[in-house]
Amino acid sequence: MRRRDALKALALPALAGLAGCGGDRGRIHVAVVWSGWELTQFHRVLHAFPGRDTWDVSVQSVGDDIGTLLGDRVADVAVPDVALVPYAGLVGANLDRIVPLRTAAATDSPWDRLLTFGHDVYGMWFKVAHKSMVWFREDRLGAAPTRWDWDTWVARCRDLAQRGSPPLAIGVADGWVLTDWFENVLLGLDPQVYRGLAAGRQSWRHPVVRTVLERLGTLWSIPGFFAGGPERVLLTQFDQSVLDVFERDAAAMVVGADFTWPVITQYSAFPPDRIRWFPFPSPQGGPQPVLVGGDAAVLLREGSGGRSLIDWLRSPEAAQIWAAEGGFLSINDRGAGYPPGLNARPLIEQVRKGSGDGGTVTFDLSDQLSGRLAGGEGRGTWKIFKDFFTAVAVERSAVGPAADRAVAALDLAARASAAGAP
Amino acid sequence: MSDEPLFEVAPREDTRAPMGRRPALRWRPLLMLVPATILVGGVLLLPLFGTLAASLGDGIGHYRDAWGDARVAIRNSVGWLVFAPLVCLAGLALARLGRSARRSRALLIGVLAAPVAVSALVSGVAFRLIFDPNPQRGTVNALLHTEIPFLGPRWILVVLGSAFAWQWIGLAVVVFQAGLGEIPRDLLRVMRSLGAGRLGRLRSVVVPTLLPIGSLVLLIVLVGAARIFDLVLIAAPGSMQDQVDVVGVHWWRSGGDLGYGGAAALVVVLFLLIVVIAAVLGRWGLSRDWPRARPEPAAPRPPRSAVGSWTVRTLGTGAIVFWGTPLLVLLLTSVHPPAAAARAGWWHGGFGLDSYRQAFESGELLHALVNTGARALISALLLLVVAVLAAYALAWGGLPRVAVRVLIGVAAVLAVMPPQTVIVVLGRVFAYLQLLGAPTALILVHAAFGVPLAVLLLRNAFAQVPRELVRARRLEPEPGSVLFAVAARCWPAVLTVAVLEFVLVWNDFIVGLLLGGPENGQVMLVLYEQSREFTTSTGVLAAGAVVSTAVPLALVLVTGKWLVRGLTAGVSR
Repeated sequence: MRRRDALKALALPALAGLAGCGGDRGRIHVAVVWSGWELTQFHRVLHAFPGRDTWDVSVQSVGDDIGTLLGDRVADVAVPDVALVPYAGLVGANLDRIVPLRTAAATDSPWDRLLTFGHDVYGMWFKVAHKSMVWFREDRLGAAPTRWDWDTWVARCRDLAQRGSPPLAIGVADGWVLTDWFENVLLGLDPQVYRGLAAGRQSWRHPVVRTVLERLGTLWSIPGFFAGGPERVLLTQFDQSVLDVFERDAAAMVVGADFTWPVITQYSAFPPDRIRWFPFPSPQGGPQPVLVGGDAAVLLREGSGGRSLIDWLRSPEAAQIWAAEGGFLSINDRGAGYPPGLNARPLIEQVRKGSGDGGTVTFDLSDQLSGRLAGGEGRGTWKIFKDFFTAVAVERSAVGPAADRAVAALDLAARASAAGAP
Repeated sequence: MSDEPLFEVAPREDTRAPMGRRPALRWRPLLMLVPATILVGGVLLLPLFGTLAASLGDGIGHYRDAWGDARVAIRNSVGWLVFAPLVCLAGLALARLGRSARRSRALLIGVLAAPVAVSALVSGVAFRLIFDPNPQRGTVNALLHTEIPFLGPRWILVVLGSAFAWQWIGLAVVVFQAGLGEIPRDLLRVMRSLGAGRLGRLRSVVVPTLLPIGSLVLLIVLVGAARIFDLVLIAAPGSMQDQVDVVGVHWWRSGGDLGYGGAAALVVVLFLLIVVIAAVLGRWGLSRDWPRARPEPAAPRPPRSAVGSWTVRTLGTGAIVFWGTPLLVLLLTSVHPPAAAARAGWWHGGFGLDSYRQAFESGELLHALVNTGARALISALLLLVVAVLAAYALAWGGLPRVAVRVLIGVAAVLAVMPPQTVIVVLGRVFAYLQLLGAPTALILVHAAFGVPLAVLLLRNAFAQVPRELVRARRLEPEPGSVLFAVAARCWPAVLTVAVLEFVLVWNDFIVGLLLGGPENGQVMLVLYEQSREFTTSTGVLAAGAVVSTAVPLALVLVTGKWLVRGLTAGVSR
C-alpha cells in the first residue's frame, strides 16, 4: 500500500544515498517508495519493459520513514537513474540533480506545469491518485446521490448511528487517514487557505482551520458513529477499516482513496460489481474537493537507459498493466483497461482537471509540510490530529476546547518550524 | 588441585592468567590487539568522539533541547533499562525451577531459549498478532471471548514488555542454569555446618559465583533494552507510537527537528544511561575470572517434595506452552493465504501456501535472504579472527593488569553502545570513502559492533585454560601454536561468538536501515517494508517471518548445547 504520505521529508539526496555504489553499465537503478503489493505491481510493469533486453532494471524500495532518517545526514555517492517521487515539491527542491525531460509547451496540463521549472519539464506523472472518495455499501447506506453536501451527509450519518448502524469505519492508527479527512474538509471550505498553508504563508490560526476541526469533531463525536467504537478505531489501520466495511459488514462507509479498490477486491469476498463510491462531501454550493496524489518519474542520470524507461512508463501499455488491478490511475490515457466496476472515467477526469476552482491540482497538504508539522508516526500533524480525535471521540471532551488545543498545537509547530530548527 | 587444604572448600584456584609475571612488555600481544583496535577505534570510538563533540557544540544547549523534545522517549528508555534486570531475575527464578524439573529439562530449556534466535521485529509481529484487539484475529481476545484493546493506551506497554521478556528470559535461564550448577555445594555444606544463615551463604557463596555470568547476561539483556527499536516500530499501532517512543526511535523520527547537535545530544544521553550501568557491571562482574567449574557429582540430587514437583511440572508445562505460542502462531498464520490471514486468526480454516508464494513473488525476499546470510557469515568470520587475537592478548599476553582492566572496561562500555550513537558520523565517513551502502561497509560495522562482547566472552574462556598447558606450549617452536592451542581448547566459546554474531547480523534492523541501501537486502527491512498495513500483510509477513526465523533458530538449536558452555565456561572439558 501507499504510506508514502510521510514522505515530504524525503529529499532526493536520501534516495541517492541509498542507491549503493552504482555506476555499472547496462543497469537501470529505479528508486520507488512503494512496497508490498504496490511494489509487486510495479515489478509487473517493469517486466513488460521492452528495453529489458538491453538493460538490467533493478528496483529499490526506499519506503517512507527512510526520508526522516536521512535528510542531510548521509551524503550521496551514487544516484539511481530513475526515481519515482511522490510529489512535485521534491522535484523543485532538487533541480540541480534532475535531468529535464523536455521543453515546456503552452498546451501542458496543470499536472505538467507542476513539474515545469524555467523552460523545462522535469518529470512525468506515472501514477496519480484520487483521495477524495467515500466508499460504501448500498445495503447499509441505501442509495446515494452522486454528490453529497456536507450537512445532508452528516444528517444521514447521524440517522444511521441513531438506528444502531455505525455509518463509518476509520483507520486512526494511520495518521494520514486523519490528515486526509482534514484536508478534504478544508479544501471544500476554503481552497485559498489550503494553498496558503501548503505554501507556508498562511497562519494556522486562520478561523477556517478551527471551523474544519469543529466540523470533524462534531461528526466524530456522534455516539455510535464508528464501527467497534472509538477506542477500537484508534488501533485500526486503514486496511482494516476497509475490511470492517466490506468484509465484516460492520459499517456503511469508509473514506479512502482510489487504492481502496484493490484492498476490497483482494481481501474481501465482496462482489466487485457492487462496490460503490461517491466524492467526498462538500459544503453546499462550495467547490468539490479533489485531493490528489501522484508519483512522478524523474531522470537522475543521463546516458543510462533511464530515459527510455520513463518513455515506456508514459505509454498506455505500461499503465494498463497496473490499472487492471486497481489502485492506479493514469493521466496519460483515457481510462482504458480499468476494472469495470471501478467507474474510473469520472475519477480520472476529476484528477486531470484538478479542483473545481479553476483547474488547480491540489496535492495532499500534509505531504508538503516540513519541520515539526511534518507527519510521521507519533509526530507532527499525525500526532496533533490523533490527539484531537482521541479527545473528542474517545475521551468525549467538548469539541470547542479540543479544537482550540489542536489549533494551538498546529500553530506552535508551524512557528517552531518557521523559526528554523536547523 | 594438590594445594587443596582440608575441606573441598578452598581454592577456587586462581585461574587467572599469569599476568605481570614478565617484566618486559612484549610486542607480540600488542600486535594481536592491533586489528581489534583499528576496527573498534575506527568504527566505534572515533565516531563516538565525533558525536560527543557535536552534542557539545552549544555547551549544554543541545542537551536542554533534547530533553525538552524527547522527554517521553527518555522516560521510556529508562523504563526499559530498569525492566532488563527484572527480566534477568525472572530468568534466575525460572532457572531454579528448571533445575528441579529434571525430566523435561532439555525441552524446557530448548523452548525457553529459542526466542533468543528470533529477531525483535519478528517477535513484534507475533505479539501484535496474538494481542490483536479484534477477537476474530487476536488469539488472547478469542480465548477470553473479549474485545480488550490490548494494543491501546492501557495495555501496549504490557504487550511490548512481554515480547521483550519472551525474547530474553530464555538466555538468562540457560546461563543461570549452568551457573547454578557451578555453585560449590561442598562449600555451602561446610558453611551450613559452621552455622552460616541462608543470607550469609547467599552473600558469600551464591552471589559471588553467579555474579560474573549474571553480569554477562544482564549486559546482553541491557544491550537489548537499549537497542529497542524494531519491536516498537512494528508492534505498536501508529496511533500509539508517541506513547511508546524510545530514544533510539525518537532520534530517528524527529532528529531532524533537533538538528545535528541536538540529535547527537539525544543519543549521547541514551548512551550515558547505559554506560553507567555497563561500567558498574564491567568493574564488578566481568573483570573477575569466572569460577572454575567442577565436575558435577553424577549422583542425582534428592527429589524434592511431592508438592514441589507438582508445582514444578505445572509451571514447567505452562512455560513451554507460553513460550512456544508466539512461534506457533506465526507458523499457523503463515499457512493461510493472505486474504484468509487478513480476515481471521490462525485457528480458522482456509489453509494454503499462497502467502509464501506472495512473499517470494517480487524476488526481494530471496535476494535479501541470500545477501543477509552472506553478510552474517562473513561478519562472523571476520569477528572471530579479530576477537580471538585480542582476547588471547588480554588473557595470556602478559599485559599489565591495569591495562587489561582498562581494556575490559572499554570493551564493556562499547559493548552496550547503541548504533545510533555513531551512525551519522559513520554515514558521512563512508560517503566520503564512497562506501556508503556498500556491503563491505556494513560488514565492517557489524563486525566492529560485535568485537567488544566477543572479546569479553573469549577472554573469560581463554583465561581459564590451565596455565600448565599454555606454559608447555610456549616452549614449542612455532609462534602461533599457543594461540591455536588455547582457542582450540576453548572452542565452545569460539563457536558461541560466531553463532551470536551470525544471529545478530541476520536479525539486524537498525544498522541495515541507517547505513545499508535497499540493494543490500536486509531480511528484516524487507519484512518491515511489507508491514505498513498490518492486517492485509499478515499472511505475507508471517510467511516471511517464518522463513527468516528458520535459519537462525535452526543454528541456535543445533549448536545450543555448546552455546551454553560457551556462554558460561567456554572451555571444553
